[in-house]
Amino acid sequence: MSEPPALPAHGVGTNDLVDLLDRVIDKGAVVTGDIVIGLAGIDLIRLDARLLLAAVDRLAADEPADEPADRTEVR
Amino acid sequence: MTPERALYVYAAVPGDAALDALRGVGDEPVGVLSADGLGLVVSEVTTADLAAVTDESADPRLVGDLAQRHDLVVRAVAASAGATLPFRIGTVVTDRQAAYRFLGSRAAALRSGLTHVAGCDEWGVTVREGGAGQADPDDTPTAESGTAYLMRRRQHFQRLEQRRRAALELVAQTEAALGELAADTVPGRGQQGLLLDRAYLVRRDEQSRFVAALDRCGDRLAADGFVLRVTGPWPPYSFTVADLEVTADE
Repeated sequence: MSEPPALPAHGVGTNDLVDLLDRVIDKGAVVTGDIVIGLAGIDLIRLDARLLLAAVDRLAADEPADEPADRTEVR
Repeated sequence: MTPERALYVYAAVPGDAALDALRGVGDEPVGVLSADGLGLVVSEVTTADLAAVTDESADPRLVGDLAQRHDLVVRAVAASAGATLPFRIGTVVTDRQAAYRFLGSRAAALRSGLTHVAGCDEWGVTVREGGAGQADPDDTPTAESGTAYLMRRRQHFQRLEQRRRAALELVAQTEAALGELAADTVPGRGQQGLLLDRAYLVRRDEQSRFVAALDRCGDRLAADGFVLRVTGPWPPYSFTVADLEVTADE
């Protein structure tokens, strides 16, 4: 992030928690619970995206307002 | 069958990436496992803690905390490692051997993925209808002739159709202007009611032009009562390679 931050006027500026969750949660692959999955001989565990999204919906319902912007300062 | 302790995976990086001291999920120290010019950014995790996050009775803030810690580490890695290929939240391998096997079996996909996102940030762009929807003429019953009613009804639908065409055209112009400056683009999660919902992968040396285009498009949309919303810059969360997706069949 070398160049000075040119930010759009239409950007809300804060990437709030719901925006973050929207990005980091898997949209496609759905894997059940914390079952260990053999991936080409590799034991891999994934959280269930459906359960994560359900939690996100509950979170969004609880907190329609702004989140503290401290996360966006970490760059 | 599930081990007590496992390795949480944040991102793939080039093998020579060095990290500053950093605490990840569960406040555990973050490190890089490297092999064959590739690295995985990991920290130890107690699997029960992670599984508890998705428990329906759990505080949904736990997911928020996990996401923020994941994001904090990925951003710190991106700042020091250059190319960074973020993994989805909640990706865990059982141990170091599993991590090395993963690096080995997915090396080609990881390398091409890293090349794809090198020097880029992600931007989220949405467009929605601004203001209140148009009132339905049926809402205002008045004493009028059947002909007058039908006329008014027809005008209403003509206005709606004009509005729909205007939206399509403006969105198409926006997509063209942004797409031209982006290295890649993918659809967003597809929230209902959005006229446009896309993630753009943008080279940092194109950022000022991309932002200028966002402002131009945003002004034009706003003039017609549509709202452009931008989030970013993000690590390239939406541009992880498809080959890394894990399916239950594997």
